Amino acid sequence: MSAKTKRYTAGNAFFLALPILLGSSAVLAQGHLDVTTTVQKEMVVTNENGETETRLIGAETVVPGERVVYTITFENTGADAAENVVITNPIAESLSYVAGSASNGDMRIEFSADGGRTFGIASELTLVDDGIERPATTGDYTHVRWIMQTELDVGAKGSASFAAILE
Amino acid sequence: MKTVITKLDLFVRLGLTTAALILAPQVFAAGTDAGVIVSNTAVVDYKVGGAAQPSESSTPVTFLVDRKVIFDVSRTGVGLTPINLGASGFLEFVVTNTSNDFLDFNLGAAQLAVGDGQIYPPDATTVDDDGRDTSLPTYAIGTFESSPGAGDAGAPDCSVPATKIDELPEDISVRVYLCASAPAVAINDDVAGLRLEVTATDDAGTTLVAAGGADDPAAVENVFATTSGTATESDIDGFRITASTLTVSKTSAVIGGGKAIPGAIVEYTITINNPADAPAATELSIGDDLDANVTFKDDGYGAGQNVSIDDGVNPVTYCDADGDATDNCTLAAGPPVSLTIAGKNPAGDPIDVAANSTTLIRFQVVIN
Repeated sequence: MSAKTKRYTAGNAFFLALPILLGSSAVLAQGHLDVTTTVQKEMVVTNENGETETRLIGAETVVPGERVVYTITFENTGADAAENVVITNPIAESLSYVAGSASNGDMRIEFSADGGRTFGIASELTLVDDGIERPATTGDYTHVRWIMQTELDVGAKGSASFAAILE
Repeated sequence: MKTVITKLDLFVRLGLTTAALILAPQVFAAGTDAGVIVSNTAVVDYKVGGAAQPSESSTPVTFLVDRKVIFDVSRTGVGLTPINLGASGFLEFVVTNTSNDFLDFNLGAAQLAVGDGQIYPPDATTVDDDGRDTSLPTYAIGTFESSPGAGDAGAPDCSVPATKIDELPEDISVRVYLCASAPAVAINDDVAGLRLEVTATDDAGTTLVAAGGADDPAAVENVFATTSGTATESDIDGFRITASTLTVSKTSAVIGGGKAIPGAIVEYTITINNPADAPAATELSIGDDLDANVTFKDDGYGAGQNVSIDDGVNPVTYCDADGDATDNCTLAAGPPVSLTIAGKNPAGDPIDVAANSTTLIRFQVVIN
């Protein structure tokens, strides 16, 4: 019984130590990113020089036909550099992506036209419509995503944005 | 010859029947409904040390879709609507809600006035292009109840007045009619114009107000995309009043059938016809300048009876033109000698030509 107890004790100690080691390993590999999103509305105004320019204002009153701009900012608040960072943003059903509006910042930009199941660059994205494959249009986009080509260092920040028209 | 205008009496009843809900083409110009909340959440996936990490999501950011107030008011006519004196008629308009929300509307009408311009430019169909229409008298704007679905296009129900359109859905049109009664007396081709004014309101009938000041993120606010930039849109249309369209002809014949030689008596007959679909022409005044080679024959039809007036229904009457105070037919010395016939007997009763009737006016001359 005592031998068993010892073995058990020894074995118990071994099995107790394993999770601690694994746990230490998991803590070391854990990162953390802060992600925030803002929405603004584009407004064409005439400046003091009589020139028209587009400004971003708060999305307080938005009606169909107007353009809104989403900006996603992210910061690596973890202890390690983040790799393979991919920012994915669904495009609401009532919004239509504005061609060429996604900022890249050295990131690869891809779109999905099938609810986020598959992604591709704009020029190669297709859609099966009534059994016929056709190039996807911006109105078909359901998601936009940015793929960072470099690591996001500890404390580093990044941002991505795109514009959409409220249908 | 001319018809005589005394006054115009256009009584306008603004009749509105939202006759038939017109299904607009299935192009939903209105867009996303007001009140919809559009939410956005970004998701970030990444690895650390080659190990995939749990996704990080942003706090959802939202905005409320506000009310884009846009609607159209358009007449369906392509020209002035003919209306006979004393008859009833209507003008048809279509009101289409292209907003992204149900809208209520108050309705009003106004008669066009001097300076309101042409109704169908570039035609000269202003309400005041000749100055006559400026004398349009008072008119009345009725009050009406909305009656969606009553009647069909082209057959307005003006018996149920309306003052508003209630809860007009997005991308749906209704017909609106302005019903009017033409005056009993007017000049041919007079124009009477009306404006339909449609104002978007809330449920309580209060005119919508554009968003302004501090935003209430929980409230649907109004953004006017109307042509006018306000809550009111309007359009105009008009009637062309059809008075009598008389036809006049003149013939002559030698009394007794002899030759037209000096001393012969010639009878002129002026035939005035008023068509069947026209109102009566009243208070006619007929002028005729005599040729220098003839002399007006006094008492051609008896003592004091210079001109015969026969309307085909009543006994023939005569007017006098012998220079005394009772003359209704005057003979002004020339040259040319001018005969004016403005009364059908010495009592001065007016010469009227009823619809679908012919009046014959005769007088005689002697060839010099």
